[in-house]
Amino acid sequence: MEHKQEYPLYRPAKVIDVADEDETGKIQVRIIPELKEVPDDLLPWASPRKQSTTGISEEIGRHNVPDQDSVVIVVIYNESWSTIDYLEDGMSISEIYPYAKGIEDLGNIEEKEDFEYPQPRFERTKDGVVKAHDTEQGQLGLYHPSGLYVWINPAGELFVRKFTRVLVSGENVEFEMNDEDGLVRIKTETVEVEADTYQVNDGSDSVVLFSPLEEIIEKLLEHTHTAPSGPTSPAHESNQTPLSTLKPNLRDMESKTITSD
Amino acid sequence: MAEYIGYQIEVEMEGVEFTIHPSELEITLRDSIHSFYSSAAFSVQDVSGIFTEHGAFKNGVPYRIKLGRANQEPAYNSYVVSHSSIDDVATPGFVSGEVTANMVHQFLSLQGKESSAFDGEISGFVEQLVADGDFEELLIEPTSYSRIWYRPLWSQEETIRMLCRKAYSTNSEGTPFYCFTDSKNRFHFESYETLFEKSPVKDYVFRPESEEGYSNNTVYTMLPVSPKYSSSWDSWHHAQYWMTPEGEIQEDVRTLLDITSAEGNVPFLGQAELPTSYEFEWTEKEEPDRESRIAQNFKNGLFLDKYIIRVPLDSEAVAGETVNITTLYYSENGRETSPATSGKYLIESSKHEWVGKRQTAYSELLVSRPRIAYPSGYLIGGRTFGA
Repeated sequence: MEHKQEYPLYRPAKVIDVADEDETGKIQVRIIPELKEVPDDLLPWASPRKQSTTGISEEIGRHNVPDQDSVVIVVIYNESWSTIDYLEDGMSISEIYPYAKGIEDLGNIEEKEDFEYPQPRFERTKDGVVKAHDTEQGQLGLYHPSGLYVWINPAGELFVRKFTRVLVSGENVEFEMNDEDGLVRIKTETVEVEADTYQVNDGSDSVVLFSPLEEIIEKLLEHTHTAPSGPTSPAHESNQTPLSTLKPNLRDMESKTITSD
Repeated sequence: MAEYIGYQIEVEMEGVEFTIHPSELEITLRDSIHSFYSSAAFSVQDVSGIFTEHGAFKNGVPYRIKLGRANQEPAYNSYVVSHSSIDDVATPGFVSGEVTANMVHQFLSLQGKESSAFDGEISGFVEQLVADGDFEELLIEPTSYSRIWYRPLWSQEETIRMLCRKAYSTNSEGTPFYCFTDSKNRFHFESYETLFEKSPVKDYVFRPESEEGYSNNTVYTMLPVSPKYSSSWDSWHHAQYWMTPEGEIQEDVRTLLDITSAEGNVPFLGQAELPTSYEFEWTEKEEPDRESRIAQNFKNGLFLDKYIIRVPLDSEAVAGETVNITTLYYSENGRETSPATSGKYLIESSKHEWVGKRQTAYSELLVSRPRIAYPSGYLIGGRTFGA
C-alpha cells in the first residue's frame, strides 16, 4: 500500500505566477497531473535549478524566468514535494548571484525603461559583462564593465554609449570615432552624400556646395557691361540676369545640416 | 452469542450476526505500531457451504468482530475481507468445509486517489484525511511544522505515511512518529515519546513457578527477541550536512544515545563518535524539517530490549499501549524482582486469539523498550551509568 516512487520526478508544469517576493527567480507552478485540482494559492513555488555544468558563483549567474502561462519541466526531489526546481537552458541564476545585483549592473543604462520583476532576463559572466533582454517591453542590449553599453529601447532606438573608440573597417574603407581625441575619421576613395540641407554648428555655419557655385561662375562668365565703345562681350541685353539676382543663389550653398554632435 | 464461557465473541457481516456457535469459530485480531492497518482472520466450518454460496467471504465484504473477556471492554473493530481460502480452491463447485477469511481494517475500503493540498500543520492534515474513517477515537499528536502539504493523486494512507515521516513535535524529544490503527478501532498518529510515556494498561507478573496459580495478570511465557543490531547499526549514528546561503558547510551529528539516555537509563550501546550514515542538502532548510528527518533515521533503533509474552486474553493490551512487567526470580535471599527485565514496555504488536475447538483465548504481545534501568553504579563499556 505504501507509496513507492523514484525521486526525483520530472513533470510538465504550467507557470501560474512569476511575482517572486524574494526576486530569486522562483515561479508558481501547476504540476500536471498530480496538482491539477489544487487551488492556485496553494500551488508550490519552483526555483531555477541551481546546478550548472558551467558553474555559478557570486560573480556569475543567469536570470531567465519563464513567462506566465508557459509550460516548463519541473524536477520534484522529495516525497513531500517541498523541493521543486524548474529546468531552463544552460546555467541558472542562484541565490548566490541574485536578480538585484544584475539590475544594479544595468542601472547605468540611461535610455532604458524601468524594469519590472522578473524582467529583464539576463546573463552575467565573470568579466562583468551583462546581456539583458526585457521580453515584456521589447528592450535589450549589452552592458560592459568599462561603462560602454549598446541598448535598443522599446521605441526601437539604438544607443551605443560611453565608448572610447569605434572602428569600422574593410579592405578599402575605414571609419573611426575616437572619444579621447574627439576625432571622426573617414578613410576612403569617395564619400557620397545625398541631402537637401547641410548644416554645421547648429546652423550657425554652412557647408559650401560646389554645384551652386558653379552656376554662379557660369553666369558671371556670361555677364556683359555697356562701354562707350559699345558693349563688352558678351552682348548685354535687357533681359540678361543682373548680378544682384545671383546673390540669393549663394544661400543655396548653405547645405543640409551636418551637425557637430 | 454475546458471551460464551466468560468471553465476548461476536461476528457480524454487514450488520447481521453470524449464527455460528463460538466453538466452531477461530478468531485472530492483530495490530502493530509498524502496520498502518489492523487486521483480523476468522475460520469457520461452513459445513453446508451456505456462507460461501452467499458470497460471505468475497473480497470487500464488511465485518465487525468483537473479542474480549466478559469483564473488560472488548476489542471491537470493522474490517473488510482482503483474501479468503476460498480464493485458493481450484476445484469448481467446492463450496463447503473450513473457510478462513483474512480481513483488513475497513479504512482500506475508503481509500481513493485525490489531488489536493493542505496549508497548516501535519496533525491538522492527518485529522482531515482520517475524518471519514469511522474510527472510535483519533489519537493524533499535535505537530510543530507548518507549511503547504500536497496529496498528489495519493490515497489517504499514502499521504499519511508520507506525513508520518515528516512529522515533528516539540514534545516528541526527537523521537519519530508512528501511524497505525489498533484493534480497538483507534487511529494513532503519535511519537514514540508519547506512546512510551502513556500509563500502563496492565501490570503483568512473570514468575518462574505457578504455585500461586494463574490470574489475568499472569505472563505464561516470556521469550527474548534479539534486535537486529547489524541492520539497524547504520541508522544509530546519523549526520546531516548542509550549505548555508553564504556557502558555509554546516553539520548536525547525533547518535541514538541522544534520544535514549535519560535519568540513568541507558541503551545497550556505547556512544559512537563517528556517524555511520549521513545526508547532504544544498541549502539550509527549516529546522523542524531536519529534526523530523533525523528522528526518522532512528526509527528502527528504538526497540532494543524486546520480548514476546503470552498472557490470558486481554483486549486492553493493544499496539501503542504500555504495560508493566514484573519478573521474579529466586536468589539466596528468596524471591526477588529482576531489575534487568522488569519495567515498563511498549506493546509493538498484539495478537488476540480465540480457538473454538480448544475453548481457549490468549493474547500474544511483542513488547520492547528503548532503555534499561540498570542499578546505580553498574559498569558497562568503561562508563559508570546512573552515578
